[in-house]
Amino acid sequence: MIELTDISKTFQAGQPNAFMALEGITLSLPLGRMTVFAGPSGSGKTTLLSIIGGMARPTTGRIRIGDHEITSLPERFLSDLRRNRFGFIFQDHHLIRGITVLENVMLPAYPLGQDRRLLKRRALELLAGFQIEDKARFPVEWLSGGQQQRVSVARALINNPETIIADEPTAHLDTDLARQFLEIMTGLVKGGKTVLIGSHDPLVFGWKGVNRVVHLRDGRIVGKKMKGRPACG
Amino acid sequence: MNPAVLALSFGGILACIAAGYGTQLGIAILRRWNLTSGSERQLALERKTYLVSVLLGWVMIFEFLSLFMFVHTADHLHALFVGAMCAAGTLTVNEYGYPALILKILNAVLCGLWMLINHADTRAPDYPLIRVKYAAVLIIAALLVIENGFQLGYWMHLNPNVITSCCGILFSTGGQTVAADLAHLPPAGTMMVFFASLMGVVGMALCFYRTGRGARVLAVMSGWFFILALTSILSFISVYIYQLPTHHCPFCLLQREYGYIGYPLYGSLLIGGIAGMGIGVLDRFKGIDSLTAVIPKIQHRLCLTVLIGFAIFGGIAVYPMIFSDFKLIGY
Repeated sequence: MIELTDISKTFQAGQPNAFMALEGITLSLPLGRMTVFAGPSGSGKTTLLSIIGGMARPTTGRIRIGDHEITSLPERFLSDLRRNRFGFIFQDHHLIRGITVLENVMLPAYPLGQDRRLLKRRALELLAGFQIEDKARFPVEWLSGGQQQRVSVARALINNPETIIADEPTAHLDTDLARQFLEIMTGLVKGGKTVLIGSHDPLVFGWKGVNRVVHLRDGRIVGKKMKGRPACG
Repeated sequence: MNPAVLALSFGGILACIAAGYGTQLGIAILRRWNLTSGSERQLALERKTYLVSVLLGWVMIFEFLSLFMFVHTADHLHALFVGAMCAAGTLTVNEYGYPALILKILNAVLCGLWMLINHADTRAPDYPLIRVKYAAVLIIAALLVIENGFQLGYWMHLNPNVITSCCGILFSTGGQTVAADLAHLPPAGTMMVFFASLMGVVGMALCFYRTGRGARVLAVMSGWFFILALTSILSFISVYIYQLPTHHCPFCLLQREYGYIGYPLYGSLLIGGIAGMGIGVLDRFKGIDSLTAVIPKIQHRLCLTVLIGFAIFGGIAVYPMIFSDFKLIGY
Protein backbone atom coordinates (compact mmCIF):
# COMPACT_ATOMS: atom_id res chain seq x y z
CA MET A 1 0.00 0.00 0.00
CA ILE A 2 1.17 3.52 -0.80
CA GLU A 3 -0.18 5.75 1.96
CA LEU A 4 -0.28 9.51 1.70
CA THR A 5 -0.99 11.46 4.88
CA ASP A 6 -1.90 15.15 4.79
CA ILE A 7 0.26 15.95 1.77
CA SER A 8 0.44 19.58 0.77
CA LYS A 9 2.78 21.44 -1.53
CA THR A 10 3.27 25.18 -1.64
CA PHE A 11 5.49 26.75 -4.26
CA GLN A 12 7.21 30.06 -3.40
CA ALA A 13 6.18 29.55 0.24
CA GLY A 14 6.32 32.75 2.25
CA GLN A 15 6.42 34.93 -0.89
CA PRO A 16 3.63 37.19 -2.15
CA ASN A 17 3.27 34.86 -5.15
CA ALA A 18 2.98 31.71 -2.99
CA PHE A 19 0.92 29.03 -4.70
CA MET A 20 -0.58 26.01 -2.99
CA ALA A 21 -0.53 23.21 -5.57
CA LEU A 22 -1.74 20.48 -3.19
CA GLU A 23 -3.66 20.70 0.04
CA GLY A 24 -4.34 18.01 2.64
CA ILE A 25 -4.15 14.94 0.39
CA THR A 26 -4.73 11.79 2.44
CA LEU A 27 -5.03 8.65 0.40
CA SER A 28 -4.24 4.94 0.36
CA LEU A 29 -3.24 3.48 -3.00
CA PRO A 30 -3.30 -0.30 -3.32
CA LEU A 31 -0.28 -2.00 -4.87
CA GLY A 32 -0.72 -4.05 -8.04
CA ARG A 33 -3.55 -1.84 -9.32
CA MET A 34 -4.00 0.94 -11.86
CA THR A 35 -4.96 4.27 -10.31
CA VAL A 36 -5.69 7.36 -12.37
CA PHE A 37 -5.47 10.89 -10.99
CA ALA A 38 -7.94 12.81 -13.09
CA GLY A 39 -8.43 16.52 -13.21
CA PRO A 40 -8.03 19.63 -15.33
CA SER A 41 -4.77 21.37 -15.98
CA GLY A 42 -3.46 22.94 -12.74
CA SER A 43 -5.35 20.53 -10.49
CA GLY A 44 -2.12 19.16 -8.96
CA LYS A 45 -1.79 15.82 -10.78
CA THR A 46 1.81 16.30 -11.87
CA THR A 47 2.85 17.68 -8.48
CA LEU A 48 1.26 14.74 -6.68
CA LEU A 49 2.88 12.18 -8.99
CA SER A 50 6.25 13.92 -8.57
CA ILE A 51 5.94 13.74 -4.79
CA ILE A 52 4.88 10.08 -4.78
CA GLY A 53 7.79 9.27 -7.10
CA GLY A 54 10.30 11.09 -4.90
CA MET A 55 11.11 13.72 -7.52
CA ALA A 56 9.78 16.54 -5.33
CA ARG A 57 9.32 16.94 -1.61
CA PRO A 58 6.02 17.93 0.00
CA THR A 59 5.67 21.02 2.16
CA THR A 60 3.80 18.97 4.76
CA GLY A 61 2.80 15.34 5.14
CA ARG A 62 4.35 11.91 4.83
CA ILE A 63 4.26 9.09 2.32
CA ARG A 64 4.77 5.46 3.27
CA ILE A 65 5.38 2.68 0.77
CA GLY A 66 4.92 -0.55 2.65
CA ASP A 67 7.05 -0.20 5.78
CA HIS A 68 9.18 2.62 4.43
CA GLU A 69 8.57 6.32 4.96
CA ILE A 70 10.01 8.11 1.93
CA THR A 71 9.50 11.85 2.40
CA SER A 72 12.16 12.17 5.09
CA LEU A 73 14.78 10.24 3.13
CA PRO A 74 18.07 12.02 2.50
CA GLU A 75 18.70 12.64 -1.20
CA ARG A 76 21.11 9.72 -1.71
CA PHE A 77 18.45 7.25 -0.51
CA LEU A 78 15.74 8.99 -2.49
CA SER A 79 17.83 8.57 -5.66
CA ASP A 80 18.14 4.84 -4.99
CA LEU A 81 14.40 4.67 -4.39
CA ARG A 82 13.64 6.44 -7.67
CA ARG A 83 15.97 4.15 -9.57
CA ASN A 84 14.79 0.89 -8.05
CA ARG A 85 11.12 1.33 -7.20
CA PHE A 86 9.75 3.73 -9.77
CA GLY A 87 9.70 3.96 -13.53
CA PHE A 88 8.63 7.27 -15.03
CA ILE A 89 6.79 7.97 -18.27
CA PHE A 90 6.49 11.62 -19.20
CA GLN A 91 4.09 13.53 -21.42
CA ASP A 92 6.91 14.62 -23.77
CA HIS A 93 8.75 11.30 -23.41
CA HIS A 94 12.00 13.09 -22.42
CA LEU A 95 14.06 10.79 -24.62
CA ILE A 96 17.58 11.93 -25.35
CA ARG A 97 18.06 12.93 -28.96
CA GLY A 98 21.28 11.99 -30.72
CA ILE A 99 21.64 8.58 -29.08
CA THR A 100 20.02 5.33 -30.13
CA VAL A 101 16.76 3.84 -28.96
CA LEU A 102 18.70 1.06 -27.19
CA GLU A 103 20.94 3.52 -25.32
CA ASN A 104 17.91 5.55 -24.24
CA VAL A 105 16.33 2.43 -22.76
CA MET A 106 19.54 1.35 -21.01
CA LEU A 107 20.34 4.79 -19.60
CA PRO A 108 18.49 4.63 -16.21
CA ALA A 109 20.32 1.39 -15.38
CA TYR A 110 23.83 2.78 -15.83
CA PRO A 111 24.19 4.13 -12.25
CA LEU A 112 23.44 0.65 -10.90
CA GLY A 113 26.59 -0.75 -12.49
CA GLN A 114 25.01 -3.89 -13.90
CA ASP A 115 26.74 -6.15 -16.38
CA ARG A 116 26.41 -4.39 -19.74
CA ARG A 117 25.71 -7.57 -21.74
CA LEU A 118 22.87 -8.57 -19.42
CA LEU A 119 21.53 -5.04 -19.45
CA LYS A 120 21.59 -4.91 -23.24
CA ARG A 121 19.81 -8.25 -23.45
CA ARG A 122 17.11 -7.02 -21.09
CA ALA A 123 16.67 -3.76 -23.02
CA LEU A 124 16.30 -5.69 -26.30
CA GLU A 125 13.77 -8.03 -24.67
CA LEU A 126 11.72 -5.02 -23.55
CA LEU A 127 11.88 -3.46 -27.00
CA ALA A 128 10.87 -6.81 -28.52
CA GLY A 129 7.92 -6.92 -26.12
CA PHE A 130 6.72 -3.61 -27.59
CA GLN A 131 7.45 -4.66 -31.22
CA ILE A 132 10.17 -2.07 -31.78
CA GLU A 133 13.24 -4.28 -31.50
CA ASP A 134 14.11 -3.54 -35.14
CA LYS A 135 14.43 0.17 -34.24
CA ALA A 136 16.99 -0.44 -31.48
CA ARG A 137 19.93 1.00 -33.44
CA PHE A 138 18.04 4.01 -34.77
CA PRO A 139 18.54 7.47 -33.33
CA VAL A 140 15.47 8.08 -31.21
CA GLU A 141 14.38 11.16 -33.16
CA TRP A 142 13.74 8.98 -36.23
CA LEU A 143 10.79 7.31 -34.46
CA SER A 144 7.13 8.33 -34.62
CA GLY A 145 5.30 9.66 -31.54
CA GLY A 146 3.74 6.27 -30.75
CA GLN A 147 7.05 4.47 -31.14
CA GLN A 148 8.75 7.03 -28.89
CA GLN A 149 6.03 6.44 -26.31
CA ARG A 150 6.81 2.71 -26.33
CA VAL A 151 10.52 3.44 -25.99
CA SER A 152 9.76 5.56 -22.93
CA VAL A 153 7.72 2.69 -21.45
CA ALA A 154 10.62 0.29 -22.09
CA ARG A 155 12.97 2.78 -20.42
CA ALA A 156 10.65 3.03 -17.40
CA LEU A 157 10.78 -0.77 -17.05
CA ILE A 158 14.52 -1.29 -17.46
CA ASN A 159 15.19 -1.40 -13.70
CA ASN A 160 12.14 -3.64 -13.15
CA PRO A 161 10.41 -1.16 -10.81
CA GLU A 162 7.39 -2.03 -8.70
CA THR A 163 5.53 1.13 -9.69
CA ILE A 164 5.10 2.92 -13.01
CA ILE A 165 4.24 6.61 -12.86
CA ALA A 166 2.90 8.14 -16.07
CA ASP A 167 2.09 11.83 -16.38
CA GLU A 168 -0.34 12.71 -19.20
CA PRO A 169 0.96 9.76 -21.25
CA THR A 170 -1.68 10.04 -23.96
CA ALA A 171 -1.52 13.79 -24.49
CA HIS A 172 0.33 13.50 -27.81
CA LEU A 173 -1.20 10.24 -28.99
CA ASP A 174 -4.15 9.60 -31.25
CA THR A 175 -6.95 7.34 -30.01
CA ASP A 176 -5.49 4.10 -31.41
CA LEU A 177 -2.06 4.77 -29.98
CA ALA A 178 -3.58 5.83 -26.63
CA ARG A 179 -5.49 2.51 -26.51
CA GLN A 180 -2.28 0.62 -27.33
CA PHE A 181 -0.54 2.41 -24.49
CA LEU A 182 -3.35 1.59 -22.06
CA GLU A 183 -3.25 -2.06 -23.14
CA ILE A 184 0.43 -2.10 -22.28
CA MET A 185 -0.30 -0.59 -18.84
CA THR A 186 -3.05 -3.15 -18.25
CA GLY A 187 -0.57 -5.90 -19.08
CA LEU A 188 1.89 -4.48 -16.58
CA VAL A 189 -0.76 -4.46 -13.84
CA LYS A 190 -1.57 -8.09 -14.64
CA GLY A 191 2.16 -8.75 -14.24
CA GLY A 192 1.99 -7.34 -10.68
CA LYS A 193 3.08 -3.75 -11.26
CA THR A 194 1.40 -0.75 -9.69
CA VAL A 195 0.49 1.89 -12.28
CA LEU A 196 -0.26 5.50 -11.35
CA ILE A 197 -1.41 7.76 -14.17
CA GLY A 198 -2.14 11.46 -14.15
CA SER A 199 -4.47 12.43 -16.98
CA HIS A 200 -7.31 14.66 -18.03
CA ASP A 201 -8.09 12.35 -20.98
CA PRO A 202 -11.54 10.68 -20.55
CA LEU A 203 -10.24 7.75 -22.58
CA VAL A 204 -7.74 7.06 -19.78
CA PHE A 205 -9.95 7.30 -16.72
CA GLY A 206 -12.75 5.48 -18.54
CA TRP A 207 -10.41 2.63 -19.51
CA LYS A 208 -11.58 -0.85 -18.56
CA GLY A 209 -8.26 -1.74 -16.87
CA VAL A 210 -8.36 1.21 -14.46
CA ASN A 211 -9.13 0.10 -10.90
CA ARG A 212 -9.51 3.46 -9.27
CA VAL A 213 -9.98 7.08 -10.29
CA VAL A 214 -9.09 9.94 -7.94
CA HIS A 215 -10.47 13.29 -9.07
CA LEU A 216 -8.43 16.37 -8.23
CA ARG A 217 -9.30 20.03 -8.53
CA ASP A 218 -7.36 23.02 -7.22
CA GLY A 219 -4.99 20.72 -5.36
CA ARG A 220 -7.69 18.87 -3.45
CA ILE A 221 -9.37 15.52 -3.80
CA VAL A 222 -12.91 16.10 -5.00
CA GLY A 223 -13.87 12.49 -5.62
CA LYS A 224 -12.62 8.93 -5.48
CA LYS A 225 -14.15 6.14 -7.47
CA MET A 226 -13.43 2.43 -7.38
CA LYS A 227 -14.46 0.95 -10.72
CA GLY A 228 -18.02 -0.31 -10.47
CA ARG A 229 -18.72 1.59 -7.25
CA PRO A 230 -20.37 4.98 -6.70
CA ALA A 231 -18.26 8.09 -6.33
CA CYS A 232 -17.51 9.35 -2.86
CA GLY A 233 -16.36 12.77 -1.71
CA MET B 1 48.07 44.20 5.27
CA ASN B 2 49.48 40.84 4.31
CA PRO B 3 47.18 38.97 1.86
CA ALA B 4 47.44 35.78 3.94
CA VAL B 5 46.37 37.70 7.06
CA LEU B 6 43.39 39.13 5.18
CA ALA B 7 42.48 35.70 3.80
CA LEU B 8 42.64 34.08 7.23
CA SER B 9 40.71 36.92 8.88
CA PHE B 10 37.91 37.05 6.31
CA GLY B 11 37.84 33.27 6.03
CA GLY B 12 37.55 33.06 9.81
CA ILE B 13 34.74 35.61 9.91
CA LEU B 14 32.86 33.75 7.16
CA ALA B 15 33.39 30.48 9.04
CA CYS B 16 31.93 32.09 12.17
CA ILE B 17 28.90 33.38 10.24
CA ALA B 18 28.30 29.92 8.74
CA ALA B 19 28.78 28.29 12.15
CA GLY B 20 26.33 30.84 13.61
CA TYR B 21 23.76 29.84 11.00
CA GLY B 22 24.46 26.20 11.84
CA THR B 23 23.97 26.99 15.53
CA GLN B 24 20.58 28.54 14.82
CA LEU B 25 19.49 25.39 12.99
CA GLY B 26 21.12 23.24 15.67
CA ILE B 27 19.02 24.85 18.41
CA ALA B 28 15.85 24.34 16.33
CA ILE B 29 16.78 20.69 15.74
CA LEU B 30 17.60 20.02 19.39
CA ARG B 31 14.28 21.55 20.45
CA ARG B 32 11.86 20.49 17.73
CA TRP B 33 13.21 17.55 15.68
CA ASN B 34 10.53 14.88 15.39
CA LEU B 35 10.86 12.48 12.47
CA THR B 36 7.40 11.03 13.06
CA SER B 37 5.80 14.38 12.37
CA GLY B 38 4.89 15.51 8.87
CA SER B 39 4.53 19.14 9.89
CA GLU B 40 5.80 21.97 7.72
CA ARG B 41 8.38 22.88 10.36
CA GLN B 42 9.78 19.34 10.52
CA LEU B 43 10.00 19.00 6.73
CA ALA B 44 11.68 22.40 6.50
CA LEU B 45 14.25 21.28 9.12
CA GLU B 46 14.92 18.11 7.10
CA ARG B 47 15.52 20.13 3.94
CA LYS B 48 17.70 22.70 5.70
CA THR B 49 19.89 20.12 7.34
CA TYR B 50 21.31 19.07 3.93
CA LEU B 51 22.35 22.61 3.12
CA VAL B 52 23.73 23.35 6.57
CA SER B 53 25.63 20.06 6.80
CA VAL B 54 27.32 20.78 3.48
CA LEU B 55 28.06 24.34 4.54
CA LEU B 56 29.49 23.22 7.87
CA GLY B 57 31.51 20.52 6.11
CA TRP B 58 33.27 23.25 4.12
CA VAL B 59 33.76 25.32 7.28
CA MET B 60 35.42 22.31 8.89
CA ILE B 61 37.71 21.81 5.88
CA PHE B 62 38.63 25.49 5.98
CA GLU B 63 39.33 25.21 9.69
CA PHE B 64 41.60 22.25 9.09
CA LEU B 65 43.55 24.09 6.39
CA SER B 66 43.59 27.37 8.31
CA LEU B 67 45.70 25.73 11.05
CA PHE B 68 48.52 25.23 8.57
CA MET B 69 47.90 28.60 6.90
CA PHE B 70 48.07 30.34 10.27
CA VAL B 71 51.42 28.79 11.17
CA HIS B 72 52.75 29.40 7.66
CA THR B 73 51.69 33.06 7.83
CA ALA B 74 53.17 33.53 11.30
CA ASP B 75 56.38 32.01 9.98
CA HIS B 76 56.32 34.25 6.91
CA LEU B 77 55.92 37.37 9.10
CA HIS B 78 59.02 36.69 11.20
CA ALA B 79 61.11 39.08 9.08
CA LEU B 80 59.03 41.99 10.44
CA PHE B 81 60.05 41.44 14.05
CA VAL B 82 63.45 41.94 15.60
CA GLY B 83 64.61 38.70 17.17
CA ALA B 84 62.13 36.37 15.48
CA MET B 85 63.53 33.65 13.21
CA CYS B 86 60.36 31.66 12.62
CA ALA B 87 56.75 31.35 13.79
CA ALA B 88 57.94 30.54 17.31
CA GLY B 89 59.14 34.12 17.75
CA THR B 90 56.31 35.76 15.79
CA LEU B 91 53.67 34.07 17.93
CA THR B 92 55.18 35.56 21.11
CA VAL B 93 54.88 39.15 19.81
CA ASN B 94 51.64 39.44 21.76
CA GLU B 95 49.59 37.38 24.19
CA TYR B 96 47.09 36.21 21.53
CA GLY B 97 49.44 34.16 19.32
CA TYR B 98 49.86 30.87 21.17
CA PRO B 99 46.27 30.70 22.49
CA ALA B 100 45.09 31.17 18.88
CA LEU B 101 47.38 28.33 17.75
CA ILE B 102 46.26 25.97 20.52
CA LEU B 103 42.60 26.74 19.78
CA LYS B 104 43.22 26.10 16.08
CA ILE B 105 44.72 22.69 16.84
CA LEU B 106 41.82 21.84 19.17
CA ASN B 107 39.25 23.02 16.62
CA ALA B 108 40.95 21.13 13.77
CA VAL B 109 40.65 17.92 15.81
CA LEU B 110 37.03 18.63 16.79
CA CYS B 111 36.11 19.58 13.21
CA GLY B 112 37.69 16.35 11.94
CA LEU B 113 35.66 14.32 14.43
CA TRP B 114 32.49 16.23 13.51
CA MET B 115 33.04 15.46 9.85
CA LEU B 116 33.26 11.76 10.69
CA ILE B 117 30.00 11.90 12.67
CA ASN B 118 28.37 13.80 9.82
CA HIS B 119 29.66 11.24 7.31
CA ALA B 120 28.14 8.38 9.33
CA ASP B 121 24.85 10.25 9.79
CA THR B 122 24.44 10.86 6.07
CA ARG B 123 24.96 7.15 5.36
CA ALA B 124 21.76 6.22 7.22
CA PRO B 125 18.23 6.95 5.99
CA ASP B 126 16.82 8.13 9.33
CA TYR B 127 19.20 10.88 10.56
CA PRO B 128 20.33 8.80 13.57
CA LEU B 129 23.04 11.23 14.72
CA ILE B 130 21.27 14.49 13.92
CA ARG B 131 20.98 15.63 17.54
CA VAL B 132 24.53 14.61 18.46
CA LYS B 133 25.83 16.32 15.32
CA TYR B 134 24.10 19.62 15.97
CA ALA B 135 24.83 19.58 19.70
CA ALA B 136 28.49 19.31 18.69
CA VAL B 137 28.00 22.22 16.27
CA LEU B 138 26.98 24.44 19.21
CA ILE B 139 30.25 23.67 21.01
CA ILE B 140 32.43 23.91 17.90
CA ALA B 141 30.78 27.18 16.82
CA ALA B 142 31.51 28.73 20.24
CA LEU B 143 35.14 27.57 20.04
CA LEU B 144 35.39 28.89 16.47
CA VAL B 145 34.24 32.34 17.59
CA ILE B 146 36.73 32.35 20.48
CA GLU B 147 39.53 31.13 18.21
CA ASN B 148 38.82 33.75 15.58
CA GLY B 149 38.63 36.38 18.30
CA PHE B 150 42.14 35.41 19.38
CA GLN B 151 43.30 35.27 15.76
CA LEU B 152 41.96 38.75 15.04
CA GLY B 153 43.40 39.99 18.33
CA TYR B 154 46.75 38.54 17.30
CA TRP B 155 46.76 40.26 13.90
CA MET B 156 45.53 43.57 15.35
CA HIS B 157 48.12 43.67 18.12
CA LEU B 158 51.14 42.89 15.97
CA ASN B 159 53.56 45.65 16.91
CA PRO B 160 56.76 45.78 14.85
CA ASN B 161 58.51 47.67 17.67
CA VAL B 162 58.30 44.66 19.94
CA ILE B 163 61.60 42.83 20.27
CA THR B 164 60.83 39.16 20.44
CA SER B 165 62.90 36.02 20.94
CA CYS B 166 64.06 33.41 18.47
CA CYS B 167 63.18 29.76 18.83
CA GLY B 168 66.69 29.02 20.08
CA ILE B 169 65.90 31.06 23.21
CA LEU B 170 62.27 29.97 23.60
CA PHE B 171 63.11 26.26 23.53
CA SER B 172 66.49 26.49 25.29
CA THR B 173 67.33 24.78 28.57
CA GLY B 174 66.93 28.10 30.36
CA GLY B 175 63.46 28.69 28.93
CA GLN B 176 60.71 29.35 31.46
CA THR B 177 57.90 27.84 29.41
CA VAL B 178 56.11 24.49 29.33
CA ALA B 179 57.37 24.07 25.74
CA ALA B 180 60.95 24.54 26.93
CA ASP B 181 60.42 21.95 29.66
CA LEU B 182 58.95 19.51 27.13
CA ALA B 183 61.80 20.19 24.72
CA HIS B 184 64.25 19.08 27.36
CA LEU B 185 62.67 15.86 28.45
CA PRO B 186 65.36 13.18 28.60
CA PRO B 187 65.72 12.06 24.94
CA ALA B 188 66.45 8.40 25.63
CA GLY B 189 63.40 7.96 27.86
CA THR B 190 61.15 9.95 25.55
CA MET B 191 62.34 7.92 22.56
CA MET B 192 61.61 4.67 24.36
CA VAL B 193 58.08 5.78 25.28
CA PHE B 194 57.56 7.18 21.76
CA PHE B 195 58.58 4.00 19.94
CA ALA B 196 56.74 1.77 22.40
CA SER B 197 53.61 3.87 21.89
CA LEU B 198 54.05 3.91 18.10
CA MET B 199 54.40 0.15 18.00
CA GLY B 200 51.50 -0.19 20.40
CA VAL B 201 49.12 1.99 18.38
CA VAL B 202 50.13 0.42 15.04
CA GLY B 203 49.79 -3.08 16.55
CA MET B 204 46.37 -2.19 17.95
CA ALA B 205 45.33 -0.73 14.59
CA LEU B 206 46.42 -3.90 12.78
CA CYS B 207 44.48 -5.97 15.32
CA PHE B 208 41.38 -3.79 14.84
CA TYR B 209 41.76 -3.90 11.05
CA ARG B 210 41.68 -7.70 11.13
CA THR B 211 39.19 -8.38 13.92
CA GLY B 212 37.13 -5.20 14.32
CA ARG B 213 37.71 -5.38 18.07
CA GLY B 214 39.21 -2.83 20.43
CA ALA B 215 37.86 0.34 18.82
CA ARG B 216 37.83 2.37 22.00
CA VAL B 217 41.28 1.18 23.11
CA LEU B 218 42.61 2.19 19.68
CA ALA B 219 40.95 5.59 20.05
CA VAL B 220 42.56 6.21 23.45
CA MET B 221 45.92 5.03 22.17
CA SER B 222 45.63 7.29 19.11
CA GLY B 223 44.82 10.29 21.31
CA TRP B 224 47.72 9.48 23.58
CA PHE B 225 50.08 9.02 20.64
CA PHE B 226 48.93 12.32 19.10
CA ILE B 227 49.94 14.24 22.24
CA LEU B 228 53.08 12.18 22.80
CA ALA B 229 54.17 12.72 19.18
CA LEU B 230 53.88 16.50 19.55
CA THR B 231 56.00 16.27 22.69
CA SER B 232 58.48 14.01 20.92
CA ILE B 233 58.83 16.51 18.07
CA LEU B 234 59.96 19.05 20.65
CA SER B 235 62.13 16.58 22.53
CA PHE B 236 64.10 14.70 19.86
CA ILE B 237 62.46 14.41 16.41
CA SER B 238 63.15 18.04 15.50
CA VAL B 239 66.71 17.72 16.80
CA TYR B 240 67.41 14.81 14.47
CA ILE B 241 65.91 16.64 11.49
CA TYR B 242 67.96 19.79 12.19
CA GLN B 243 71.00 17.71 13.23
CA LEU B 244 71.61 20.28 15.95
CA PRO B 245 71.41 19.05 19.56
CA THR B 246 70.25 22.42 20.90
CA HIS B 247 67.59 23.19 18.26
CA HIS B 248 64.16 21.98 19.40
CA CYS B 249 61.92 24.34 17.43
CA PRO B 250 58.68 22.74 16.14
CA PHE B 251 58.18 25.55 13.58
CA CYS B 252 61.48 25.67 11.67
CA LEU B 253 60.47 22.27 10.29
CA LEU B 254 57.97 24.17 8.16
CA GLN B 255 60.65 26.25 6.45
CA ARG B 256 62.21 25.77 3.04
CA GLU B 257 65.67 25.02 4.56
CA TYR B 258 64.23 21.76 5.88
CA GLY B 259 62.26 20.93 2.75
CA TYR B 260 58.93 21.92 4.35
CA ILE B 261 59.10 18.52 6.06
CA GLY B 262 56.91 19.82 8.90
CA TYR B 263 53.81 19.86 6.68
CA PRO B 264 53.72 16.12 5.94
CA LEU B 265 54.95 15.43 9.48
CA TYR B 266 52.17 17.37 11.21
CA GLY B 267 49.59 16.60 8.50
CA SER B 268 50.04 12.84 8.78
CA LEU B 269 49.97 13.02 12.58
CA LEU B 270 46.80 15.11 12.60
CA ILE B 271 45.01 12.90 10.07
CA GLY B 272 46.12 9.68 11.79
CA GLY B 273 45.17 11.06 15.21
CA ILE B 274 41.72 12.23 14.13
CA ALA B 275 41.04 8.96 12.31
CA GLY B 276 42.08 6.95 15.38
CA MET B 277 40.00 9.01 17.79
CA GLY B 278 37.13 8.96 15.28
CA ILE B 279 37.05 5.15 15.41
CA GLY B 280 36.27 5.36 19.12
CA VAL B 281 33.75 8.18 18.74
CA LEU B 282 31.82 6.29 16.05
CA ASP B 283 31.97 3.09 18.09
CA ARG B 284 29.57 4.67 20.56
CA PHE B 285 26.88 4.71 17.86
CA LYS B 286 27.22 1.31 16.25
CA GLY B 287 24.34 -0.05 18.35
CA ILE B 288 21.88 2.18 16.43
CA ASP B 289 19.93 -0.05 14.02
CA SER B 290 20.47 2.00 10.89
CA LEU B 291 24.21 2.31 11.64
CA THR B 292 25.11 -1.26 12.55
CA ALA B 293 26.18 -2.03 8.98
CA VAL B 294 27.51 1.45 8.21
CA ILE B 295 29.89 2.15 11.09
CA PRO B 296 32.13 -0.93 10.82
CA LYS B 297 32.84 -0.03 7.16
CA ILE B 298 33.76 3.54 8.09
CA GLN B 299 35.87 2.33 11.01
CA HIS B 300 37.67 -0.07 8.68
CA ARG B 301 38.63 2.75 6.33
CA LEU B 302 39.58 4.98 9.26
CA CYS B 303 41.80 2.23 10.62
CA LEU B 304 43.62 2.12 7.29
CA THR B 305 44.00 5.91 7.54
CA VAL B 306 45.47 5.53 11.05
CA LEU B 307 47.99 3.00 9.78
CA ILE B 308 48.99 5.11 6.78
CA GLY B 309 49.05 8.38 8.76
CA PHE B 310 51.14 7.07 11.62
CA ALA B 311 53.38 5.09 9.26
CA ILE B 312 54.17 8.30 7.33
CA PHE B 313 54.72 10.17 10.59
CA GLY B 314 56.92 7.39 11.98
CA GLY B 315 58.82 7.14 8.70
CA ILE B 316 59.61 10.86 8.62
CA ALA B 317 60.59 10.81 12.31
CA VAL B 318 62.82 7.76 12.02
CA TYR B 319 64.46 8.50 8.67
CA PRO B 320 67.10 10.99 9.97
CA MET B 321 67.80 8.76 12.97
CA ILE B 322 68.80 5.92 10.66
CA PHE B 323 70.27 7.66 7.64
CA SER B 324 72.14 10.65 9.14
CA ASP B 325 75.47 10.63 10.96
CA PHE B 326 73.99 12.68 13.77
CA LYS B 327 73.52 10.83 17.06
CA LEU B 328 71.77 12.40 20.04
CA ILE B 329 73.29 10.01 22.58
CA GLY B 330 75.29 11.89 25.21
CA TYR B 331 73.27 15.14 25.09
